[in-house]
Amino acid sequence: MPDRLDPRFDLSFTLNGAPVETATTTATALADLLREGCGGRGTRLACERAVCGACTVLVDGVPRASCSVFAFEVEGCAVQMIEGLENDGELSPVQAAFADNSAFQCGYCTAGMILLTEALLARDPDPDEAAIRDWISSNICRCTGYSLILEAVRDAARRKRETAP
Amino acid sequence: MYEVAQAGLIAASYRDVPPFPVIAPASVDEAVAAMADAEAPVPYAGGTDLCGAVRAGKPIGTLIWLKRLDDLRGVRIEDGALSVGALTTHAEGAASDATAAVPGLPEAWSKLGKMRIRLSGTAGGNLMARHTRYEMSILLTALGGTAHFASAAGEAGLTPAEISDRAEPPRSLLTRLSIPLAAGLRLDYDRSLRPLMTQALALWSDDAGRDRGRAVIATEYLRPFAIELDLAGTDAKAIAAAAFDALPAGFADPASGNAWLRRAGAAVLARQLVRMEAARA
Amino acid sequence: MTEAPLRNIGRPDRRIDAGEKVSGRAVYTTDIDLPGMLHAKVLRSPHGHARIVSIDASAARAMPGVHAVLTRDETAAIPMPVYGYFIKDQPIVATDKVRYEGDIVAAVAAEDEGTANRALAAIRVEYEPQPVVTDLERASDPDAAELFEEPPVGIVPKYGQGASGELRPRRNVCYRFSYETGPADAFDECDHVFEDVFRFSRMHHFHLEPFVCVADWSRKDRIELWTSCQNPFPLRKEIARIFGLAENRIAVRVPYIGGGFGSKNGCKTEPVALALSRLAGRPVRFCLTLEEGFLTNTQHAAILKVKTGVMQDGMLVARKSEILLDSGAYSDGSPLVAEKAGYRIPGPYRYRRIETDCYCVMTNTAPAGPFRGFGGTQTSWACESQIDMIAHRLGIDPYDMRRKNLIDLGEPFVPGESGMDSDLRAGLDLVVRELGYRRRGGLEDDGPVKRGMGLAIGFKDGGGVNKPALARVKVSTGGDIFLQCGTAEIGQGAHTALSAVVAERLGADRSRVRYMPVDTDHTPFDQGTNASSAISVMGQAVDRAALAARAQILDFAAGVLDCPAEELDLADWEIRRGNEAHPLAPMIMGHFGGTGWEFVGEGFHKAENSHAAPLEAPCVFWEIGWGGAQVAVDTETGLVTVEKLFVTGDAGRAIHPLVCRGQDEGAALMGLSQALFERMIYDGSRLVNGDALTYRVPLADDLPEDFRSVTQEQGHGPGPFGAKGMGEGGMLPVASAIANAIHDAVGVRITELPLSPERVLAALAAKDGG
Repeated sequence: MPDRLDPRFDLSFTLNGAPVETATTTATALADLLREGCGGRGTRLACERAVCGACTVLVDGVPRASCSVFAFEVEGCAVQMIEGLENDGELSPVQAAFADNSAFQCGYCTAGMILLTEALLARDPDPDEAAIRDWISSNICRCTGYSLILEAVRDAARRKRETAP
Repeated sequence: MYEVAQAGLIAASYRDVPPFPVIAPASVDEAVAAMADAEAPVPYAGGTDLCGAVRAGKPIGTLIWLKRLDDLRGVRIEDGALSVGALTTHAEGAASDATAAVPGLPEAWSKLGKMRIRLSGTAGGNLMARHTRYEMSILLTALGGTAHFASAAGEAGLTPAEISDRAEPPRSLLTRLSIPLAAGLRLDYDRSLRPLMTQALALWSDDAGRDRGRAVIATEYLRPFAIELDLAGTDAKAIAAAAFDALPAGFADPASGNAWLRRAGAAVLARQLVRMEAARA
Repeated sequence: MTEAPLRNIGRPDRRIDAGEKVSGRAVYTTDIDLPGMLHAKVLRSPHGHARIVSIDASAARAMPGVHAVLTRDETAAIPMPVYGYFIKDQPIVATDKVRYEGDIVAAVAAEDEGTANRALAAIRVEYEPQPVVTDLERASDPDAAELFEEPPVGIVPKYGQGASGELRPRRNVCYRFSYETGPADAFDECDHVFEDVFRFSRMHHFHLEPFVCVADWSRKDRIELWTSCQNPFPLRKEIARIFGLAENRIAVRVPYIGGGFGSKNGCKTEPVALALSRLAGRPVRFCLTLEEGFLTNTQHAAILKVKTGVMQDGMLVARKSEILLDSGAYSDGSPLVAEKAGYRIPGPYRYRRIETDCYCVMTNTAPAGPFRGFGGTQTSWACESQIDMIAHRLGIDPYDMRRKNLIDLGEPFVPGESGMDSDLRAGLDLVVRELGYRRRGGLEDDGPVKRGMGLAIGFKDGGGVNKPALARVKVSTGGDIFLQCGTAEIGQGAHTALSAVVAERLGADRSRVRYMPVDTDHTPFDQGTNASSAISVMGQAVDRAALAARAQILDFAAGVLDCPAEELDLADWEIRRGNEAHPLAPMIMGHFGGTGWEFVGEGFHKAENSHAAPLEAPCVFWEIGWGGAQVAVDTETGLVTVEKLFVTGDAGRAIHPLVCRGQDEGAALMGLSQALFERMIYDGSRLVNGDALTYRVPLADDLPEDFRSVTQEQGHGPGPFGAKGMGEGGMLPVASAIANAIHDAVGVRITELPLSPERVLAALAAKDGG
């Protein structure tokens, strides 16, 4: 981490496991860097003030609203976005659980919800009901009424435990 | 929410902000120096609120990124006080052993924000957002805490009410929150009516060994209002009713009227008193 | 038709959009990026009501990076620079006046959003503030300020038996809808007449994908528009009218829509973006912030005065209602909402006399428009609350009161209407069983916390009014299926359900069907994705299109095989004839040559026009949401905790059970949230909580401890395989079921939403005082 950054600077970090080096500015939000620069458009912007969580990505495993994280903050960090979850075209267990449980409707919150679930299950592979509700309450889904999302999280935990080495 | 321009309303975006220099000091001294020297310095911690503030028109001259200031992280007991580093996240603070020195504070702190926010949002950021919806100032008011600012001019302590009222000292940095550990200090925080109303109750014994108490009522739109309790009686409902006689008639907001805040506040306070008595026994 | 078990219907397979949506690959309008694209931002009025004295945008025009500035000076050159459904009253940018805080005054297209906003800040506008109108009941007072001094252009559609409409019936009312049926003296024979007033709150849709479009009018005679709009064909027509361009010069494309709940219904961002694009000669992206969404479209707050005549035994006889809808500053979809509120206020009950007047009242607040269940949300709140109130006044159990008066299966709602297509009592009994309503007397109190249960039946006519839909199904030489129809995928799962219908009819796996992108240049006409019409109206068109394609394929094969088509069946792209299987691809190439062929089937659906039907065409289907709630009421704070919420809808036939469940549960949570806390708070003409932080929408931890839904499949729907529409019904019963449960628990009646602790406590105090 440098002591000082100029308004325009070169940023290097790991995105979905691959190194990235890119020129950017200090005022650039991580969401915009990922969407416009080097990631993909799966990170979705809605409230743009860290409330709804649609733009959630994982920064060193921590779920962050990427609208409210400056790109410079991820220098040297590992950033995980929705596009990086598939493995050789195979959906991750969490993605597959969301797909199989129809835990989405319009899909705008889905990337954030899936990454939130990934972060939860990385910390607690067998979360109880209270923990699941607590975590999923971080983000807003306006469509589903949440029940199917909560089922998908339980299902994802089960799948991950079953496939764990 | 909006920058009100001369001619009307403009939906501001964080994309309106021109790039700015960033300074990442390695120590509190360096940070204080940067605050003193940099052009229009804005301290930056967990990042959950700056975006909102920028959209509300806050300009950024130089961003002072506090990430490296590990000294400002964590909760400690120092000189008879609980000292909360300004960069302590809600998740860290609620889980800290030191926090348990104030019974009820870990439970209360664990309710602030949802998990995504708790992992990044900091005690200092919560306070300095000066948003009536945010709750650190409620807890700090109840516990008689002080926010400490460091600047080239020296240290200064402000109460939460003072922070609501006025700007912090020029070019200063919030370093920590301190809560004096009065004898038997404990907390109950009731969020069952949030966001319409929340209420914190702190109880302790003063130097003379008398029971003391302070209730703090807050709403989404109003800054916390503290009521010093007269605990001489034994009937919780009577104590609570008497306490809420002190609530000003003007304490009302667009979502809730004064009469309800008064009645519900008293009802909640009576329960809090009973609950805390039971916890002590 | 094959007798084999259905392979695509009723199965919880992955939705067809699952892969794209869980992987981040799904494309929304927010993702569209064109070369040379500019970004638009707008300047909004800080006044609730003001005359515009002057606008000086010269400094903005001169700023580097600014490519176009739009003010009333520019829109003066546009043929018809106003829009709206029945009434063309909303200007692209304000001309003489601004009518709400947030009204658009000027717009800029620039290299980036920051530059556009800096340019807007340099525009000088001089206003002459006027008194504001915000009180629904005083808006027509002679001394109230007028929003429109001159009448805007508007129409009253043709109505059928008993229905009528009127433009500007009184001051600050843009539209009235009225309906009456039965003998005028019916109230005279009633044992009791009860009059009650109900107030309904106002929500914002809070769709996560913002209002957004990308408009390219860089070539003079060609518009290309990508937009988050659920009604692309009506939008095309409106754009053609506004800008004076032929409809065949306008392409409207609708990618996935990130939620709408009614809001994304017509001109929103599009006219500004198009006007700027024409001025700049470059594509323009116009994406609102979520906060601007609050200023763009909302639900209708309402006051409903309901007078109901009954017999001593609880038999309903007559209902006379007056409804005031807060339409905000522009008419938008308000007349449509008035039709629905005015028509739905009787609820699913039998009366001898119905008499309704519904008024769209203009106020200096954000324009109100379509919102999930519109009209039905307001009226179900009033109707289902009053049924309980009357039952209690007469000493009858609310359940028995409902059962006694419910319309029978097959019985017309009113004269000239279609018959009820759900067994209403069966749904009610399901709620009673699931909730344990019969045992509610045994609910235990917990000190000051008292428990109770309530029921409600939400009701609306579904499938839109007089709504046409056309669909096309193409099948390639190899059996790849193209489904072309105009239903937008807004989250409701319509693309999945419609594809399943096509696959089923063609004996194929659903994976063989591709739902083609919605593009008005190629997609057959559709009136819009609204009114729970995807499966009930478009579904019928799609079903017919698939059957038409199937018939062509079988006829073709019959010719080749020289046998009657009736002997043939189609499965897995083979012709089955007894035990023989004939692969189709070789047959097709043998006949049409090596390049093959495409079979094309088209299907059309529209309800028959009928002047006997009050809305000129009978209702396509009846959308019913039955609900029940158990609450715990804290009598010291007024807090209402919903401990159990059960909702059930009738899908007729659930084409995709998880999609149906998600529709009911999502709708129910919206209803719960409106019942308990969610609302736009206005202070005069100023919206107090128009942002994500202070406008509270439900989170996962707002779900009741026991929250369940059941999708009934009663089998009487008009759609394919007996399907009915879903998506709105689940919202309708929730608020009144909770209000009824509160009454059951503590004996107070709250007639205004939300059912806030403050209102409950005040009602308790009033009860104790009286």
